[in-house]
Amino acid sequence: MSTSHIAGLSPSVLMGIKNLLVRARSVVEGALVGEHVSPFRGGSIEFAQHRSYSPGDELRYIDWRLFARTDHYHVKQFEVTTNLRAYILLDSSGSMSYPEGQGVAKHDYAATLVAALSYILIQQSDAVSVTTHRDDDVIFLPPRSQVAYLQQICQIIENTKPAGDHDILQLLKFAQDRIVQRSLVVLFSDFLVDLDQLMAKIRILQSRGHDLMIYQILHRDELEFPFSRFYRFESMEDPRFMVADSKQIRAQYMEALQEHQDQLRAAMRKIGVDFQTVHTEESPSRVIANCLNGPMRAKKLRKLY
Amino acid sequence: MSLFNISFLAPLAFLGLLALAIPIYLHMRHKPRAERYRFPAIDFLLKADKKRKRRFRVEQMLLMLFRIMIVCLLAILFAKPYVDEKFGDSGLKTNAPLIVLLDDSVSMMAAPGGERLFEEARLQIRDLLERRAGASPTRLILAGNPEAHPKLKTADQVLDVLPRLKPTTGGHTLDAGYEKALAIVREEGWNQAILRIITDGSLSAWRQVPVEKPSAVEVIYASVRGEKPLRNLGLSKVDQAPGDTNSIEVSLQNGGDQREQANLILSMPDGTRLSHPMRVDGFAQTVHRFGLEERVPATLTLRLPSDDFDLDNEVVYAPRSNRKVNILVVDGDSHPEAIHSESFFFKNALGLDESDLYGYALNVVTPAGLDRSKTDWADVICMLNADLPQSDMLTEALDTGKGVMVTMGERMDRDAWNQFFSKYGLEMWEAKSLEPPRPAEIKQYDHPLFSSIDESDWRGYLDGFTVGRFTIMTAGQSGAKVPIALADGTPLLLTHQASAGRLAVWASSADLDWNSFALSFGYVPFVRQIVAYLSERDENMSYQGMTVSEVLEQDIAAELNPKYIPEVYRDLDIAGPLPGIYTRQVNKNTQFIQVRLDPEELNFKSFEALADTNQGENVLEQAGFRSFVRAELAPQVQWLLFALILVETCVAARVSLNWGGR
Repeated sequence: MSTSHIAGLSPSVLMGIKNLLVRARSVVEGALVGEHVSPFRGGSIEFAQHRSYSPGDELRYIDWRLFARTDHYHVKQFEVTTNLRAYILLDSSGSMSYPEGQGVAKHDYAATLVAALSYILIQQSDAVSVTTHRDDDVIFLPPRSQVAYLQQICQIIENTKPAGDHDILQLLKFAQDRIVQRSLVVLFSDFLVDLDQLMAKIRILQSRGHDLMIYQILHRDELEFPFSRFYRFESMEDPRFMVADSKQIRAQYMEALQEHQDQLRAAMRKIGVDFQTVHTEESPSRVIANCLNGPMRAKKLRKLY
Repeated sequence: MSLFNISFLAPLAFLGLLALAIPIYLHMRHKPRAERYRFPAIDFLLKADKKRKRRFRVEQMLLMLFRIMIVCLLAILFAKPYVDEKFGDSGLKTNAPLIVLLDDSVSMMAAPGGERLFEEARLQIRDLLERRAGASPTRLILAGNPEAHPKLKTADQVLDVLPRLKPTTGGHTLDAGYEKALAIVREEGWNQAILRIITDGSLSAWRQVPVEKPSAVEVIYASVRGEKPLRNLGLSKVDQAPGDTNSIEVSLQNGGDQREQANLILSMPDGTRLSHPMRVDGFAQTVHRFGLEERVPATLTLRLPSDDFDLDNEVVYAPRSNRKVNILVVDGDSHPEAIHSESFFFKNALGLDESDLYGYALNVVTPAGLDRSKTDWADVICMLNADLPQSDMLTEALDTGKGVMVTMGERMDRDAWNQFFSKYGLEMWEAKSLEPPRPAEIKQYDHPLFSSIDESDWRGYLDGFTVGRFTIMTAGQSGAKVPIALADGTPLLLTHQASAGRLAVWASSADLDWNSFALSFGYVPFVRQIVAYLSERDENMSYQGMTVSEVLEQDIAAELNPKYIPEVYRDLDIAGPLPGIYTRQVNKNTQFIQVRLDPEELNFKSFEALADTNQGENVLEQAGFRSFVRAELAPQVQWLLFALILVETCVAARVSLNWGGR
């Protein structure tokens, strides 16, 4: 199968690939087709660009050859000089198991993205850590950069079944305690939580100098509420339920959802966090490609050194 | 039952409100069934649910309200609402041409609420006219005399006359006034006029309720009696019992569905009072017979307890006759008064040895024993299958006003009798046998012989009476009447008015030899009636009982001299001949007249009473009368109902779609 074909695979077809590692590689290969270049750099000092000399710059960084050609002083700038550590937080609460019947579950979709991202990073010798739930416990894989570690990550994620009411807030609190050095923190969740608590925890992470990439995974049913029948809606995480006519309640639901999303986006934008809402019918390769080449991402990476 | 200005013909339909339990039950029981569905964003749903629940409750309450309203409206519809005209101007164009047809018959003198209906009618008319412009075209027609007020043209003019209007004792119906009203509309060329009929609402108000009404006339039929039934137990007729001068028959009419017990008081001139308790078990008409031991006194006052119509509670009765009738029976049989002789049957019909109690004095003789002293004593001479030894005595008797009766048989000498009959234009022929015997029948019910007993009773009395042999009699140009004859017209009884007395010839036997009459029910009343007929002299035969309507029809009210008028009428402001006892001079003879109210006027059965049997309502509706405005109100209610049903259906359909869809 050529990579060009893989790039066009729909999520439902991708999820047919049972092995998560294979699936991740398919996603990554699809994402790197064409002009896409990985923005993640590390491992050695590499030239990045020239900049006009300003008084105070170190003289050793003046490019004398360029001075000879242009008769102007320029200093050389270099990119990351240290290995990247990426902490990936995957929400495995009950709500991530939606939909339970046909279709791509949010958790499966998020797992694919996690695996693909890990694949890319480990291929670049960056260290990747994955944190998620299993039952009442938090599963934490410490950052490693060995290629063999990727297999372990995939295995852990695959064996994780979303259930219970352990939401992303718990993972964030765990991350606060564990991540000491400045790192890349990537969050995959539906963020159907209290926004104030969420933002409080994200702000803490950001204040510690972590780079944050946040992906909100939603199903199209949540975004569009296309129901037309009379249902007893039951919560996937707790015993709450409500009996309602879908058509009658749709407008109010959409209003409440829109309000939540607007607040979430505004809060993320306010603190300058890279936030993206993804629905499960989008191509994971496209999501990864956007992640690699997004302007926000490049800007953030520059801040790393 | 009335609610605001709306009344209901069938208030029992409100029992249908019990059906209100159905929508309430549905409301309480309504729980939509739902499919389970696990959904992550339950928070947003719960947030939206607060608004939704409020809306749901409102919708369900509205739905229940609509259903309740529909049940209520259905109940109202089945309760047959109508607007009682007396409350408002519904349908009355204030200054449109108006004709008031006022029932001024005596039944309007009923006073169910203490005030007489005529006064109530007068007030209603005043209220009506005072709301109109004074010059608006208005006519007044009285049922008793539709032509009485031709010059009244405006409301003011009618208002001026109103206080002077009087009811009459007559039993006028509204028919003539109704025709007069329509004629006025045609003459005036009115395109749309209102005819307001004000009556007591009795069934007797119309001789024939009109079937149709002209389109140009809006007829409003207003009954002033209200919804409460009238109580009236009245004396419709008091008369002598047929063939029994010592008994009176009292006809009572229960014209208002009265059921309580009542006492009939009979007062004699000497102060004697008899109280006769009667059960009044909802009968319509009944007759009580009172036999008096001695002669019926000169006058007898009968009183009933007071009720809603007091004018028929008192009657003063004057007996037809207080004189004992002397009867001379001349029996041709050699053994008079023996069983099966003519005189036995004849005497038996008059009470045998107790005939004196019935007002008869009998003397039975053979033709040989007949003499002048006996004919002078007798009022009536009965020649039963007898020879005629002295025809001159019979002729003299007739000339002096006595009555003579002749019955036939084998012993009759035809030549001798024809000599007597020829003086009166009669002729006797041979006897004739009929095989098989044939029935005879009454040909002239209006003959004075039959006046006191109903025609139907006479038919029953003569049932089974057949004639096997009779003597052929011819009347020629004598002017004799033939009240009883065979079916082919062959005379069986001939009566002839002689110069002063009366002659009656029975062309068959008075016993069972030639006919079966002596064994029929009619024999006794017939003999008594014919004795009474033959014994009546001028002054006696002039006794007459008349109704008020008959007095008015014969236009003899001015000729009547009151002898006794019941107390209740004396201070009454009422027109027309008052019930009571009168005398009248006719051909130098004094006629004795007893006037009574028309029996129909005592009957207060109303259209509303008929409406209970679904007849009265139809009668009025067919007549196009708006006695109830239900005809106008009901379509409005129906449209309202239909609109609400439509709305309810839409709401129910929407709710069902929302809540029941899958």
